Amino acid sequence: MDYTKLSLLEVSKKIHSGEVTSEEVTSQIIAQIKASEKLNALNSYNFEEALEKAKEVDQKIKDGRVLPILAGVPIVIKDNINVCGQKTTCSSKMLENYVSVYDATVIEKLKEQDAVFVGKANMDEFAMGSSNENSAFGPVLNPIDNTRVPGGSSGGSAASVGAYQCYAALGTDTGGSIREPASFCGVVGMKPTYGRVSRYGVVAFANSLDQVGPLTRTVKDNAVMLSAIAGYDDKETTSVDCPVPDYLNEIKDDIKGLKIGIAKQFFALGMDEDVKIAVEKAIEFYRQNGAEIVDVDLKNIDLALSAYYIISSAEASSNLSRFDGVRYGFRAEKYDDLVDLYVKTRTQGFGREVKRRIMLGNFVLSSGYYDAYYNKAKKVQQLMTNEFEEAFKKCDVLLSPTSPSVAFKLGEKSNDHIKMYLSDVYTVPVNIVGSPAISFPCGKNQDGLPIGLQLIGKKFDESTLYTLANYFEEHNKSNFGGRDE
Amino acid sequence: MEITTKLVNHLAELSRIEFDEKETENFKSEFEKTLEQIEALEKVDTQNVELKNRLLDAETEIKEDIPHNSLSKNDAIKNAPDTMGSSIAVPIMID
Repeated sequence: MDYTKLSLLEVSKKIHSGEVTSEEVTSQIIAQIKASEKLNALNSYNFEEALEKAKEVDQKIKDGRVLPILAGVPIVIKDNINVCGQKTTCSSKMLENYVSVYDATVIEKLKEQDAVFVGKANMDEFAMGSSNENSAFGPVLNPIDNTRVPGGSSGGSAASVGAYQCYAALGTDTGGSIREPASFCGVVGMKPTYGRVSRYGVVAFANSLDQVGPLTRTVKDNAVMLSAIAGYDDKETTSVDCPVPDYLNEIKDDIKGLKIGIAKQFFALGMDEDVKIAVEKAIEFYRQNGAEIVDVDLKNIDLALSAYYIISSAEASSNLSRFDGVRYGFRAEKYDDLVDLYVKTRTQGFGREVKRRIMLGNFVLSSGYYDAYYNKAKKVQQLMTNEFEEAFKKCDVLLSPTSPSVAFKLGEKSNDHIKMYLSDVYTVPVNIVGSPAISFPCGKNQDGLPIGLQLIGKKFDESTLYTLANYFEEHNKSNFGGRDE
Repeated sequence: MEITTKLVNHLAELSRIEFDEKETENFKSEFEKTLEQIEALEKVDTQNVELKNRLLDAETEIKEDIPHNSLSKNDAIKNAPDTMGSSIAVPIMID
């Protein structure tokens, strides 16, 4: 039997009941990774250790131990999250040979659950990009249509989940980097509330916006993953000390009375006609099934992208100053003195997009421009936070498309960075205000390419997002489960 | 806003990144487009916006100062491009 197409919950049940061993499941996943290698979804493999871990879990099951849901289940990790003993490259020449010397907190948590790590996922360099074309190790191909991008920056994570190379993957989301690729690859992606998941051991892009989250093929699988990785961490000062619900048990069968907010401004941002049709159908679906649709006002939503590029680039320019060829990572071969070592290392080690953002960050933080750009962006961020708070007084969630288009062609936007940035017009505001948001497939266009729907929640209310997303999935199964075979 | 070569060179220096002439020219036009985009913020009235200190609604507690184990010396220098004994090596700074 082919076990790779099962959901995480299904395969976990089969492993834990003894119907199949984790070793057999892991072997099938490894075979699937090898068969779909051309997607370039993974930067590195961990097959031997994965099989060892699988055998260890099988033994525990034989011994009659009761194990957590993720025990024995193969998982992929984005390549900016430290897994001790494995490479963490951030898809950059700068960290090409960097081997992690400690585990990120999310990895510690998954290890406590006996999850099986099969590989590290390709991504846009240092998580900067919306198409995975900025990787130093080549672009990732969309598993549904190999001529298209998988989205970014967690493109490898989304593609590996969509192509059955694992049952779940971890990604990171600073401006849409989990949700946009989830939308493009037809999978489910959750960006948790800022502070819900520890960022300790995750290579920082923009600290005040970054958040780790899961990508899966079903909503329930996603809920299981978030329960496993969420929670307070005394090593991470922005992680918040509030109880982690069992998100799977919190999923309700009824959506009657839930209020879904629609901002007319979302529709003015510009989206493809097929995306608009699918989103309107989804709104109608929720209305017919008892949810209440309410109008809300988000007047300044169109400013989110500008504020985002200022704040995220400012933070990135300071974060990336640590890559100087001294303590770790790449060092240029030829240089004159210490300063020249820094300059040559950074010039040769960083890719074009990363350099562009460092330069922009240094510009908005530099004397004479700080108030006009950085301070202004922080004030606009506050303005938007206030607006979202007002909107959430009238509704439980907000609804929008995840991206204005379906997955675009490789190379289509790579020479126009402004066009590329616009792919994130619906996802960026969520990071700006710190809310949680989920993306799940709500339909397909004429060419069979998936369209993602985004639901945005109140802070720390991921549960309502899972309830609404799961309700949609239960009634629209054909949209879910990865690419058609 | 017009982006001059002088400004690009200044930013490159701050960033510790070198650009050749062609890259500088490309960067100038890209940067102008980016600024055009972000200058939309200028029109927003933010005079009465009060900046709150953090994004989080929940209170974060100040941690107690308790010593704990950190990376070993070996692990700390494991990824250094050049080492000397148990230290990281850099080019001579003072003759």
